[in-house]
Order: sequence, then C-alpha cells, then structure tokens
Amino acid sequence: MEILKAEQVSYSYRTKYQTIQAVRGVTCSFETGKLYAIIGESGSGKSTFLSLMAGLDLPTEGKIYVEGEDLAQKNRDSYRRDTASVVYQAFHLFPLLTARENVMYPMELKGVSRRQAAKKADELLKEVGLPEKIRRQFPQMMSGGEQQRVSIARALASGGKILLADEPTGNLDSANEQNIVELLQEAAHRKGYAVIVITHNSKVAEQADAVYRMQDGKLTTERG
Amino acid sequence: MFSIRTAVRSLKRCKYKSILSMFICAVATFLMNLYAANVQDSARMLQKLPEAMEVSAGISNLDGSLDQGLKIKEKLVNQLLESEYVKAPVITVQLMTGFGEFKEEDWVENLTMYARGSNDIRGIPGLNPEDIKLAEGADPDFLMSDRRECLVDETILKARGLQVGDTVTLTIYYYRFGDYHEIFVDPLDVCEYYIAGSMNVSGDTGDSSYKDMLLPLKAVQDSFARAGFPFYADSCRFEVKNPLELNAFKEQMHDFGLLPVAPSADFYFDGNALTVRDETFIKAAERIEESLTLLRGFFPCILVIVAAVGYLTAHLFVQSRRPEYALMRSLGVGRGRSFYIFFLEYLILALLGCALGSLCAAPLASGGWKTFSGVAVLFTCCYLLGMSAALLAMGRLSVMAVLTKND
Repeated sequence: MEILKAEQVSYSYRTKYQTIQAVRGVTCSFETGKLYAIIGESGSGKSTFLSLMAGLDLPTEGKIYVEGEDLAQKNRDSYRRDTASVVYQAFHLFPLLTARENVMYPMELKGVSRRQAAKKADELLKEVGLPEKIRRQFPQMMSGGEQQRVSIARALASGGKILLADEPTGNLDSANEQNIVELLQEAAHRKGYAVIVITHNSKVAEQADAVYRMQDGKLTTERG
Repeated sequence: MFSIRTAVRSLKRCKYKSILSMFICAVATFLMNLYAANVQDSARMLQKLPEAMEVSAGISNLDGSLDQGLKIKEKLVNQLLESEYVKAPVITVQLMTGFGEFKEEDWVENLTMYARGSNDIRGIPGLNPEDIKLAEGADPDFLMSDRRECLVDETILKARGLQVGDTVTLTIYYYRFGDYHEIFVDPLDVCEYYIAGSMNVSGDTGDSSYKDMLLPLKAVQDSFARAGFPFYADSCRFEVKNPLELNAFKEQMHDFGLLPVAPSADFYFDGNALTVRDETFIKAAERIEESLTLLRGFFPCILVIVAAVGYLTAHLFVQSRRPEYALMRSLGVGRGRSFYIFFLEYLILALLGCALGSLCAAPLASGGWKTFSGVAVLFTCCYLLGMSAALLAMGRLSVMAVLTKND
C-alpha cells in the first residue's frame, strides 16, 4: 500500500553567498512493508530529501503526500509524532534520559501512561536485542550499536507507519551494521513499516527491496 | 503533566548547571534586595528628617533687626495659629502690670512688673517646665485657655507675701505703637487673676526682661477686645510642621502678607517679615535626595541588567541543548510546547534562586515582605523576559541543520 509519495519535489536553500538546489524535481512513492534504500554520494541531497519526507521542512516546489494527503496541509508536528519516525546517524538520544526513558518519550508525549509506556519500552528494547541491564543506562554509557538500537526502538515506539533512517550504520562497525539492517528489515517485513534508509553503503543497499540513487538532487531508480 | 515531568527531570539530572543557574538568580536577587533596601532607607531617612532636624521660623521686622517687641497684627497671629503648616507656635505680648488697682498718675510706684501674655511657657525665654511649681489641681495647659490664671516669679511672690493659689487684682498696661516709631505704655484692664503657679527661670533669658509674670494669651486678647484696643503680638515663633513642604509653607506665609527679610530696609516695629532657619535642613535633605535620585536613576539599568543576565544565562545554557531541542522537534514536540518545557525549567530555577537570594538578603536588608515580594516579582519578570528572548532565538534554529548533514 502506497503511504508516501513525492511529486516533483524540489528544495533549495540559501547560504550567505549562493543558493543551493539540494533536491530537483524528485518524483517517487513508497509502500508499507518494504525497505527502501536511497544511495548516493555525499552532497547529493539524500539527507535533505529525507528531512522533507520527515516533515522537518517543506519543499520549495512540488508536494509530498502522506496517505494521499498533502503534507503541507497537515500538522507536521503530529505527523512526526504519529506517523513518521527518524533514526539518525549520530543516534541523537536524549543524553539525560536512560535507554528506557528515551523509548518511553514518544509514547509519553502522546499521553500514554508512564506504566504502559515503560512496559512497551521494555518490550521494544528486548525486540531490538538489548539486554535488561541497558534499560537503566544513559546514552554515554552505551556503545554505538546499542545507542542505535535504542534509537530504532524509540522510532518503533511512536507506532507510526514510516521509518526514515539517515545513514543508520554510518557510525557502526560491520557486525553492528548487519544487526541494524536486520532490525530495519524486520520493521518493514514483519511490522509493516515503510522503511526508507539513506546510505552510501552498498552492503546495506543490497539488502533493500528497492534502491534509488540520488545524484545532484535528482532521483533515479537503481533497482526495484 | 508530561512537560512538568520532563522539566523537573532535566533539572534533577543536570545538577551542576541547575545549581549554577539558581546561584546566579540568587546573587541577582540578593543584590536587588540590597539595592531596594538602600532606596528604602534613603527614602525613610528623608521622611524622618523633619523629626531629626526641625525647621524653626519666626516673625521679624522687615530689616530683620527685631524678633520681639514687634507690632504683629492680630489677624496674622490668628492665621498663623490656624495654619496647617505651622507647629508649636509661641505668641507673646509684652505687658506691664501692678498688683491692686491704682490711678494712672501713680504708675511709677505701682507699675513694677514686666509681664508677658503667651500661649506657651516658652513665651519666657529660659523658662523650663521644671522651673514651674503649679498649685494643686491646676491645669498645666492653662496658658492655652482664656482663664484668668497666671504664673508669678517666686521672688516677687515672696516679697509681696503672696502664695500660689491666691487671687490678686492686677492692673495691666499695654504697649501702643505711635505713627513715628514711638511707643506708649497705656492702661488696658484691671481684673482678678488666680496665681496658678510660681516660676523661677533657670535658663538663659537672653536680653528679655519680661519674665516677672506669665498670663494666658487669650485672656490678654480678651482684655484688648473689651477695652476696644487693637491687639498686637510682640513676638511670634514656631516650627514648620512638615519641612518637606517648605515651598508650600513659604507660599502660604507669602499669602499671609509676610515678606522675606531685607537688611537694607528701613527700621520699623511692624512684624511683617518671615525668618526661616532652614539652611541645615535643606542641605541635609538635598544630600539625601541627591543620593535617592542617583539610586533611583539606576533602577532601569538594574532591570536591563537582570534581563541581560536572564538572556545570557539561558543563551549559554541552551547552546549545549540545541540538539536536544532539535530532537524534541523531530519527535513531534510542537514549537510552543518545546519552548514551554525549557521555559518551565528556567522558571523553576529563577523562583528557587529568587527565594534563596531573598532569604540571604533578609538579615542585611531592612525591607519588609512587600519589598521582598516586589523585588521577587520584578526580578522574575525581567529575568524571564531575557530568558524568553534567548529561548525564542533558539526556536529559530533549523532542526534539519542540527540533526542531519546538509548534503
């Protein structure tokens, strides 16, 4: 089922001396239950495109549709809270919250009771393969792989249908890299998420159901 | 609830920053309280200055050479007695008296006493309350009344074989001023007076010789009225009720017809000039007012400084929390809610710091709870204003730029 669609999406931004056209007329669509990879060189516009799909900014031209609705017309805060979650290369966990509290955050934000949120968080942390002792640890006490797992658990906790990952394996060793890819695959295939992974790692791209290539802000289908 | 819990949790887990921020607020509040106490003390000092430093005034003739033996009109005397700016007036009238009734031509042997009519014992210079021995049951304030009672010098009483409590017949002569600077002594009244007490002047009487007898001013005024003669007081001195209203007082005195002393004026007996001994008071008041103005002048600066402290503190602290803010936004926390969560954190710290600062200032600053709460409200408002500016500035950052690389 198509959940996310980009239609002639362009995005440009200004620096002090020039206007940069980061995304140029991108048209594509994403379905639930599939893992997508967007590959490309650094500076090709991949992360900017992902941010637009996450509703962190609006395209300067074109439209993004979420379940058929124009994202520009929706409340983008509630879109990020309820529908789309993002996993970042730098993990971006709250440094003052434990692993469990980080996972509870999106649920508490939606008004889920603390007890229920804690229970669900424990389940999710278990699902992403983190031992029980990690739950009470703060991010700075965890390894990169563990932090990224917590980040994925937090993304899953919001209960949306879209999972956007920006270079999720960029800061990890190869063993952890494979584990994270497996988790993302599981989210897509077993939990029915539309998982879109930005990567320049060909090993990660190989395991995706469809692969797009971003070059100079333009998106082409590589496989799928 | 989520926002409050998040804010409190952040405060608890960021102990050092929280304590530092609270300490800054405490120091600012402490200093503000000291400042407010200083302003209050100066204002209080100014308010109490009239009690500590009285301003005396009196009537003199135009060239300022006489302050007694004057010709002060009854209308002016009454105006001064009723004035809201005049305190403790002492009005006197010089008289000559003799015991018993005698003919005008026998004045040399009989008119032997220099007396004064006055509304106060201070009417005789140097006469103190402890110099007076009143008859049993006598009203100590009889000089304020129109009763025919008098105080007589102890030596005279002894010489005449009289006693306190006796009633005597008095022949009273008054001073009449002529048109050409001359003074006449003419008969005024013959009446009975009750000797309410004796006096023995212990203080310095100056150059006054009118100290043999003291009669109530109103009783003497009655005698003038009955005789159909215009009443003139010979001296009038008083204190300014509220020296902080010196200008209003002087304006009223001007309306009463009193002029400033002009040393170059011709000599007259007319009591129509006002002498105010206000130089010391004015100097002291001006000095306090200057420091008060200076202190109050700092007030807007202090508010701006507090707002700047709020801005800088929040700005420095939120710099390291930009990723946290961006992450909150990316998880779907609205801009307003994110602002509210951060605001709540700093509000709690500001209030705690403010309470601590007030507590520390309490033993040093004399201001009451009103001052402390006033300072607390001002501090909190200014601090939060500065802090809000810093948080709003943070709200403008690009979430995308913080969380993702701009490819």
